[in-house]
Amino acid sequence: MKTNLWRFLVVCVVLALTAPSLIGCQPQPETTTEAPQVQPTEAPAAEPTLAGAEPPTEPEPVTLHVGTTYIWDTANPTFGWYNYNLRNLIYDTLIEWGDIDTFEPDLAESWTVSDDGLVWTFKIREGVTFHDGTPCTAEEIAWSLNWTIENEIETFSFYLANFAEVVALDPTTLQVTLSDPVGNMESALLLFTWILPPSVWDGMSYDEIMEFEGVAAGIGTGPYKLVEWVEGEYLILEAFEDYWRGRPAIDRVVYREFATDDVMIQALLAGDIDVIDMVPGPGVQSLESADTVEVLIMDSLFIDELIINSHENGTQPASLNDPQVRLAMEYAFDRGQIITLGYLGYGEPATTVLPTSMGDWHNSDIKPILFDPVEGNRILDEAGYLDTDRDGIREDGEGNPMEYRLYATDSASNARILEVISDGLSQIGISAPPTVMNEDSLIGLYPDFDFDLIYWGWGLDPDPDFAMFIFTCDQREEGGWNDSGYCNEDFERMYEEQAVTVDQEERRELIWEMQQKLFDDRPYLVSTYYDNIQAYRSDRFTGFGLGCGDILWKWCFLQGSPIE
Amino acid sequence: MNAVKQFVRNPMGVVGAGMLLVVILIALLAPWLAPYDPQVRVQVTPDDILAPPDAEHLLGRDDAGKDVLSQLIYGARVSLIVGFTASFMSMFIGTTVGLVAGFYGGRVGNWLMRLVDFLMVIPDLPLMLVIIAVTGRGLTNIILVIGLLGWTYTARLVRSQVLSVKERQFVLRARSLGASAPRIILRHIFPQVVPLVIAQAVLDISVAILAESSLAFLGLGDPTLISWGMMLNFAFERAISRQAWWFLLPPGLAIVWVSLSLILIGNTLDQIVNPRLRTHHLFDARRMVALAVGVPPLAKADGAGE
Repeated sequence: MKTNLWRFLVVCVVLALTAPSLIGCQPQPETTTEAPQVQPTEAPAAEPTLAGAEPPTEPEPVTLHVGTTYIWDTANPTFGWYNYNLRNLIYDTLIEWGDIDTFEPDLAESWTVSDDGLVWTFKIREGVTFHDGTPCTAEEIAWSLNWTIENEIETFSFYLANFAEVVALDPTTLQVTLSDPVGNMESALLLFTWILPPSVWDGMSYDEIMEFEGVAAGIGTGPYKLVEWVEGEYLILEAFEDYWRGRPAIDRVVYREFATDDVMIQALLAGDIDVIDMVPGPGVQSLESADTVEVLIMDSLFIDELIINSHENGTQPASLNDPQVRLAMEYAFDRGQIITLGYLGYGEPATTVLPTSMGDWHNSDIKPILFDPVEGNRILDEAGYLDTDRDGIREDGEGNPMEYRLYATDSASNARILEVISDGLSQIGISAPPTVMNEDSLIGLYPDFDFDLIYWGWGLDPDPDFAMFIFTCDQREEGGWNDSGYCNEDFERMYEEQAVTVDQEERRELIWEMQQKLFDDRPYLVSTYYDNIQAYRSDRFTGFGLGCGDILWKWCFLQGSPIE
Repeated sequence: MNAVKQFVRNPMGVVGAGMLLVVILIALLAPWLAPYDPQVRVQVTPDDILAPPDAEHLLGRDDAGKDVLSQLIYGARVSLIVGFTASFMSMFIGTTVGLVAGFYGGRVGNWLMRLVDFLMVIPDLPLMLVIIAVTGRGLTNIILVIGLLGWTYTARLVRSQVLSVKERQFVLRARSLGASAPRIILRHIFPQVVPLVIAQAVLDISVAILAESSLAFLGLGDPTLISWGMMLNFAFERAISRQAWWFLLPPGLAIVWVSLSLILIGNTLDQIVNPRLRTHHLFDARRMVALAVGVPPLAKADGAGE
């Protein structure tokens, strides 16, 4: 029994004190993946005298390690929807999204549009090849766009909804005929429609496309090619020799997945990684105090919001559909505290679905509703929701207590944010105990819209079309983007109208009106437009463009280079 | 009362009991001891978040700006409630299964012990994680899961003891007088295994507390309750990069403190009552041939007799 005592003591101490670091242990991808790439052991400086006799030594490849909490869900670009910056390094588009509000030629060198706005003619860059060596001319691009439209590839076919015909007139000329004029051709439609190689994707059925996995799914014309991906651990990209802009200065990019933010931050401080793609608020202070690390706090197109189930067949209680209840909830939604606790202050209180970083698209007429539970209570009293049984929770007209289910994905900051939301709601007599769950369980609620409130977030396109598209009725189908179940005729009509409005001022007015509509109907209580915080080792790399709001975005990333 | 005397004479047990008493008092007096109510959310500014210890907050503040000391004090309640109820449950189930399996033996005993073996081979923590993830994270669920999975060792212990006790003469006498099986089990055998069960139950409490903390640390605790494991969960995700040791260390040390106290008590009890460590009080060592021949002084030194 003596030994048993010691065993217990040891287990107990070990559990209590070292469990955190044990669980935080990360797999070390380098050991397995870089082992074959044996570096020349001779020092290059000793070479010159023998230079004639020996083959020239390869310079050590420059590797940039990116730390992230989640790499992506699939290598398949046709339905994956994580880390677009990473996919953007692999694939090219006709027009590239550069700085947050600018558009640059990519595979299309230049383009013209007919007077009626229906025929677009693109001059295609010459000498572009896919990673597998097959050429990428106007023919392949036309094939890729047509294939996307025919197969209704979900992540990007919505961008091509108005495309009537795509033909290659010759290897350097692509002609697109639209069924209706579109106002946002450059700014939205072509930024995410990656050009995929027919050599890989031709001849597959829809199901085969959706199930396609592996490195071949990562063949594009971009500056980096996908070499290896181990789910949940790491992903390796290698510079593409024949990239049309020339071989990138950084030879390899390795994404490493970390279980927790803290471990990732320590890894950056220790020099195990060079970039953190998204630094959580609590980490900023310790990173800023390090001389070798540059912290970038950038405007972003990210929004976080509380989704209110608005589906007419959803399982939410009837009282939640009442606009007055939603208005009262807005008054009980303490954005200031949410931003302080959840984002450590790195965000601004939100009003509409479009963040202020979108400039004129953001409806600045909508004034924020400040936290005011007294007003919230007054609205509910007036609307007839009274606490008849005096238990602190109001009841609706039929005596059902106002108890809502409040969910979010599993993270410490979400847990804190839910506490604030739940606390605010309890101050106006609504009970919403917080529940955090893993992302799969949360997504599993969607086919039946079986929830009341969910805290969630989006990264938006630079053009408002996508943000509005999220709220259209058809997107409520399984696999669609509509996560609130919102569906409204007026909104639908305005959405269709703005899509064909070429005059940008008129379109802006429509978009403003749509934001107002969403603000009044409240499928979302948008909490914050938060900053994208990134950090990189400034002693190893330099020159990344800062205008994209993301230094890993192709346009900005390619400007970066290693420090010798 | 001999056992109590022995316990008091054992420094390890006294220290353990003292340590546990401190925790129990803290848990009971939490509302008076805690400077703040940790359940109440506070309005905070960015400076309050993970603020280091000062005069107002002796152990600083956590990532939500709440007082760490108050949470630590209230956290003792969850640990003790889970520990005591879960271990009482395992004790009850384990003793029942052990008594039945040991006394009846045969097919019944065989099947019950195979069930025990089956539950023993499944690693507890992953199984608990799965069950909690499926059933939800209430305090009751956590207690049930820990209690329902933790009885196997007690069952084995009780069964082995029953196997030996039921061969004794007094059992044979009771049986020949016509006592029914339940009566023999409850009146004659059960009292013989109680001391062992209690010693084991005390050790089980610390296992249960550790299990609860592990679950909470892994994010599967009851979100509405403040527990030490929950504090570690938040500290692990948000405090380490700020080097906020005042949020990370106290709950860790508290878990060590309470587990250590229970283990000290449990082992002391074990030494007093376990037949493998001591001669059983029904056993008269002086009559044992081997001892009588070999080492007579041992019987004298061994004060476990009546």
